[in-house]
Amino acid sequence: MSRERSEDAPLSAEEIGHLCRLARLDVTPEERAALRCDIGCILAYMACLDEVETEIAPPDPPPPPSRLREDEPRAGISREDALRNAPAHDGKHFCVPAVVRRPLKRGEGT
Amino acid sequence: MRGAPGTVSALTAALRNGALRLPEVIEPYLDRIRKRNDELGALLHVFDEGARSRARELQRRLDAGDWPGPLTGVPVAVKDNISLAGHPTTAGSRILKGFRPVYTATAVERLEASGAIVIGKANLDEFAMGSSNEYSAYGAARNPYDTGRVPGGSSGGCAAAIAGGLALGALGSDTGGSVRQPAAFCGLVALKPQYGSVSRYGLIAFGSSLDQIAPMARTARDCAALYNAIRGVDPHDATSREDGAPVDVEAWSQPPRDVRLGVPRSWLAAGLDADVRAGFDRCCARFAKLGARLVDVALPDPSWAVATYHILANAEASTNLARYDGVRYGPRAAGVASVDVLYAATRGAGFGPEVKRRILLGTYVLSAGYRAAYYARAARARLALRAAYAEVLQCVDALLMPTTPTPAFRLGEKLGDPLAMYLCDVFTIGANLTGWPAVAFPVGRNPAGLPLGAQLCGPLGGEDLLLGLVHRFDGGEPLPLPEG
Repeated sequence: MSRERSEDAPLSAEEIGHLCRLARLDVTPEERAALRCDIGCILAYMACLDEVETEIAPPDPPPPPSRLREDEPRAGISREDALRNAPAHDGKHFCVPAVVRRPLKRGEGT
Repeated sequence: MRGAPGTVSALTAALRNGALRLPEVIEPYLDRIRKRNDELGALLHVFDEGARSRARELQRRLDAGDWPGPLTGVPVAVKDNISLAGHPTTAGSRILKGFRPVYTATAVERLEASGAIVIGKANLDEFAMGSSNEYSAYGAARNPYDTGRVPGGSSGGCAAAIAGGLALGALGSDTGGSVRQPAAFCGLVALKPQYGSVSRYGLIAFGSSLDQIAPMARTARDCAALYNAIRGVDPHDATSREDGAPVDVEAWSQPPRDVRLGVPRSWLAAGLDADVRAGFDRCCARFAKLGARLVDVALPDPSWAVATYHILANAEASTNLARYDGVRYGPRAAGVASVDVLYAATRGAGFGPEVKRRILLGTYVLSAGYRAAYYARAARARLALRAAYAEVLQCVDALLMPTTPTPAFRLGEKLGDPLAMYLCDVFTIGANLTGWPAVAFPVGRNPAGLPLGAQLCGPLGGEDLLLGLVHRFDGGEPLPLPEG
């Protein structure tokens, strides 16, 4: 990955591309240029965090605030409701483009 | 609207003693929505027929001698990132166009159980990410005090609805100041409850460790009435908590003689608008006259909170928004041959520019090689900030500060500069990082007629104290609505 950076854009174009792949997010070339600039500026601002740790020491983290309810069986949403908003379904499943190809049967594809 | 009750308390009193009947109450609101909503962009979905039939149903109960609850007949707007079963809930995003939730948020169920009438769903910045409501995929909302200016965000539609006379109260959400900043810009009272005071069940997640559903209204008394209706533990939200007795602002009718309010003096220096400063000084003088003691306190530089917040909130957002993939809900990119392309194309077409920016920032701070430098460090900084705030609260009962650095700004003024937009929340973010309650309230208007706001913040469990103090301050009187 290229580490070449301009002063205004501490992220390289390749790094933005990598982030888009990690986030499963298409961006246009124009968006990519703007994002590179904006994210660079925002990350530069975040450098002020350097001062926090030197000036105030963090205490031990507290226990998480959540509490769990009793584990009791109860009805969830119905299959019909779960599928209600899906852009493609067959009445039982969400439909997506094929993920795993059907294995070839003997004699097929020859 | 002239002559109609302008507060929740006045309306419910008039309904209770029979001076008003509900159809007469709701029709002027629907009429005003028809006349003004296109201009204000406040509501994305209006429930005319639903509101009418609910008004008839509630009136039948009133006629039978029943009193449905403390919010009986109150027209309320609900931010469009809060679920209502069977009704469109877009979160201001193209990626949820056409989505209809299959369950209703606990807070909305409780609101309706108290007699409120949900009159519509309110505009917002996409996924509640923004401070001007200009990042909505369905158009900007406008400030009723000056329609060339923003109403604030992200709960800008809620604020515009109340200040525009389209509703008497609203449920927004507050992750970094999203009800308090619009309240400041539109002359309203808004409570960001302590984290966990209100169930998040049915709220579309943004930053789950920071999000709270939050009431907005015109007075502290009205805001307390909304809060009392929605608060409390919910088995559907493991972070919700029981927090004792309901808020009773009437118990605060005596001057707050022994209350010490801490003012972070160093925050009032550079960058603060002169009118905001003057309004804040008047607010301090009034609290002093009411008997409160004002004490200067030292809080950590607010830029630290902004940096910490934008790392944590965006990390959580990038995780929460991973669910929008074109499989289970929302529109799907057409003509794609593989699942990976389906995800990326759907998300690329469905999300707007600010949401993309935040997802990528969140992805960056969580990515291999940068997690320790950003996310882990911000998590420690949050603990350090909490400790510093808690220390200050050993000497004072609550903090008093301006809500925003400026009054409402012009549409488009900050759209080209995301960092400038983030700094709108410089004073409000602290309450989200600490989990403390905070109340924004109006402190008058500037010479141009724009509302000015101040904010009381903390301590844990202090909703009663904060709303009580604001009730002493406003005396039950709202800021007059703008002409229009």
